[in-house]
This record gives sequence, C-alpha cells and structure tokens, in this order.
Amino acid sequence: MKNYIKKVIIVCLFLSGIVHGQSTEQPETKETVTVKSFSLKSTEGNLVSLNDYKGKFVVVHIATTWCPYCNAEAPYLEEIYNEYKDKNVEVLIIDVKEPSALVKERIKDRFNLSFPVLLDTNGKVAASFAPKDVLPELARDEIMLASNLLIDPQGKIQFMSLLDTKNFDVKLINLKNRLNEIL
Amino acid sequence: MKFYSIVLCFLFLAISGHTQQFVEFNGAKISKALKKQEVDIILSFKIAERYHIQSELESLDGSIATKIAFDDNDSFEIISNEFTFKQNQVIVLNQYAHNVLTDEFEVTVRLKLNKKTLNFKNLLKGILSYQACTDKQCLFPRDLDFKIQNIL
Repeated sequence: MKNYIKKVIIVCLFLSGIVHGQSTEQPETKETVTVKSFSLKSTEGNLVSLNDYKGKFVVVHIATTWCPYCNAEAPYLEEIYNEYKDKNVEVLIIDVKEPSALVKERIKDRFNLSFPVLLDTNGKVAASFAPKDVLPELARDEIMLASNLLIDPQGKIQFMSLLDTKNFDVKLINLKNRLNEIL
Repeated sequence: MKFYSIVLCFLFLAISGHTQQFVEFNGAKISKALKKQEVDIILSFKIAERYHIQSELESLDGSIATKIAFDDNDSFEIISNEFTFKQNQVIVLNQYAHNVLTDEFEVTVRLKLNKKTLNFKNLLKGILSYQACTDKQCLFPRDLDFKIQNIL
C-alpha cells in the first residue's frame, strides 16, 4: 500500500509539472552566467536571436505593459540606445507573457522605441536570467520584471539590476556608469 | 483503488496549482438598512506585509488599477462601491503620480434590494483583481475570490 501511494505521488508530481508548466531547470547565478542564446519574435513579427548580436554589447530590459517601473524606464532605454548605438551597444526589451498587439501599442509605439521589443510568450527566457537566490519561494517568471542586464560580446553578464523601488534608478544611471566603465 | 488514485492526484494538483495571494479578505461589516431599501456593506481587505498594490485609480503609467467586480444577483442591485484606505502612498515615476495601497483597505458597497424577488439570495460574491509589488519585484496580476453569506 505504501509503495502504491509513493507511485501515485510520483505520477502526480510529474503531472503537476506538466499542468503548471514549471521548469525544473535551475538558473545560474549572475557571477557564473554565460547567457544562453534565445530566439524570440519581435512585435514586428521578426525572429530575433541573441546570436544576431554576436560581438556587441546588449542591454536587455525585462518588462510587461502593466509594470509601472518598466514604463518609467522605457524612455531612458531609448535614450541609452541613441547615446550608445555608435559604440557597439544594442538594446532589447523582452516583454513577458503578453500578446503582440498590446505590447506594440503600449510599449513599442507609445514610447516610440527604435530598438526591437521581443515577445517572451511563456516567460521562459526571462526566467532563465533570474538569479536563484532572489525570492526563491516565488515562480521564476515573476522575478525579473523591470530588471536590466548588460551582456558583453562574449555573452557574459556585466551588469544586472533588479527592481529597487526605494532607490529607483529611473534614469538608469547605474547602467550608464557601467557602460561608460567598460566601453 | 483507482478512485483513490484519482482523488489523490486531484488533491495534489489542486494544492500545487494554488496561486499565492498577497491580499486577504478579512470579512464584512453590514451597516443598518438605509432609506429606499439600500444597504451598505463594508468589505475589509488586508495587504500582506512588505507588499503594495496599485490603487483603484486609473493611471497614465500603464499600471493595472485594483478593481472589484460582483456576481449578478437578482435579489439586489449594486449601486456603488468606494475604496477607503488607511495608507496611501504616491510615488512619482517620471512625470506620472503613481498611487499604491499598503496595509489595509475597505470597499463600501451600496446595494439596493429588489422588492420583487421572491427568493432572496442572501449572498454577495465577487472578485478583487489586483497587481502587487514589493520594493524588489512586481508580480503578475491576481484575482481574489470573496463571498459573504447572510448579508441581511
């Protein structure tokens, strides 16, 4: 009987993973991360891969249309793009779990962004950046909103900021300082 | 035996699929009946420590305002609902004022009873939709179901 219950629990564990779509893959800490390449569709319908940016610095911002902090930072991401595009720096926004038309209207067009806004429809790419020591009790895809990463030409993370509303760096001064340091 | 397997599986799935909530329904106070068969019901909610939720006011910053919706009930009509709170914070993000709620808040719901209904359904059911953040993260929006029996 005990063995039988064990078997049932194992099957249920397996099923619950499927039903709730939770990845068991552990994200790496930022110190060890070489970012895995990803391919996502943009709001314009183009497939954009991190590999397309080989040899460049890439700023990645994780967002949703309803995230007030993300929306506050968006104009400053455009500012960074314009200021650093001639210095081998690209900018990408990865929107999490929202439909293309909504993201196009509320992020890409609203802030008149010149760089691609990508659609992470199941949140797995955004989740893959999450350091494992940040609020581990919550689902991984809830970790990274309003975060900024700077990925270097070797694919290593050179800067990562998690949301900090008490010391909110809306103008992305820390990210700019890091860019100025390494460029 | 199969029956127990199915029950165990469903129980397990139900528990593991439970969405973590950051607002708790703390019950309701019912004021004495007003004129014209109107009744005020005050719903109390408690926001988890360290969390804030977006206020009920629409904002230009794209955030999701907290909303309350009620199930239809032939026995009464919802005339109005109004949020009141002890703590309201205003954060300015770029040029937009951004209102958030912390700690506790109440929603006063005014009902007009329908005289014509023979079988009075003594139940108020609804959903509070909210989006919570801490100082360090913003979470995907959630729905909190609530219900109050014996409203009169």
